[in-house]
Amino acid sequence: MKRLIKLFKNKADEREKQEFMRVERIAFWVMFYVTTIAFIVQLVLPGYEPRHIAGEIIVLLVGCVVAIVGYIRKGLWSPRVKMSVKSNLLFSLAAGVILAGIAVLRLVLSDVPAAQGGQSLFAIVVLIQFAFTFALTFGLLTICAALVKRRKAKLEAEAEDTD
Amino acid sequence: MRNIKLKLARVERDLSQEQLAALVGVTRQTIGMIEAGNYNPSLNLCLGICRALGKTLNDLFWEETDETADKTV
Repeated sequence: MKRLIKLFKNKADEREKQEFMRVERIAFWVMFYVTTIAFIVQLVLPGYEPRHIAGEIIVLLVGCVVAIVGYIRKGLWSPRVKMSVKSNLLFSLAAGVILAGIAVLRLVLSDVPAAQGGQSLFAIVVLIQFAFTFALTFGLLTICAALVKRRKAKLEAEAEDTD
Repeated sequence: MRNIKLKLARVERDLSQEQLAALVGVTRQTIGMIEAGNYNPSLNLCLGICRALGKTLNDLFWEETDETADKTV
């Protein structure tokens, strides 16, 4: 067992570890975006069935959950966007618009009943898609922001000089 | 910025990059990159290099600027 542990022990020095992390970070984001694009393309194409994209959904969900849990544990939000209700609203709006756009494409390209049900039904489906995505995204972002805030405060309190 | 002080200290001790790397527990490439100014080592690694070469952090990693040079006069 000790030999096995020694065999797989991380032998990289600090620079190499940083380089590995840099390469792996790029690989993660490439995988994330390519999987997301593949997921959307399959969703939009005619003849779509949920089982066709089950693999992509599982991979994306697991990856996202691992990343989100990691960010929360370390008290990290975004490196570029400041935590605020305004930014949460903006990102939720963007998510809603993107998902509504995908719903429009799906309805236009496929033979689902809503596409044949007239413009009003079409609009209702898209509106529901938008509202549901917006509310879900905003709710999740608000919960995550609160968790990150709480964790950050705890980490800061632990790091405070007690002398 | 190239770290000439580190290179001089290493040569003074008659050590190759590979020997210093082995003493500190990093790769030769890492030492080469620190000397060439292409990698900023952590404080722990700086201390390890200082110990291996018998120098202080000031001797190897402190850059004298005009401002700091004035203060020391």
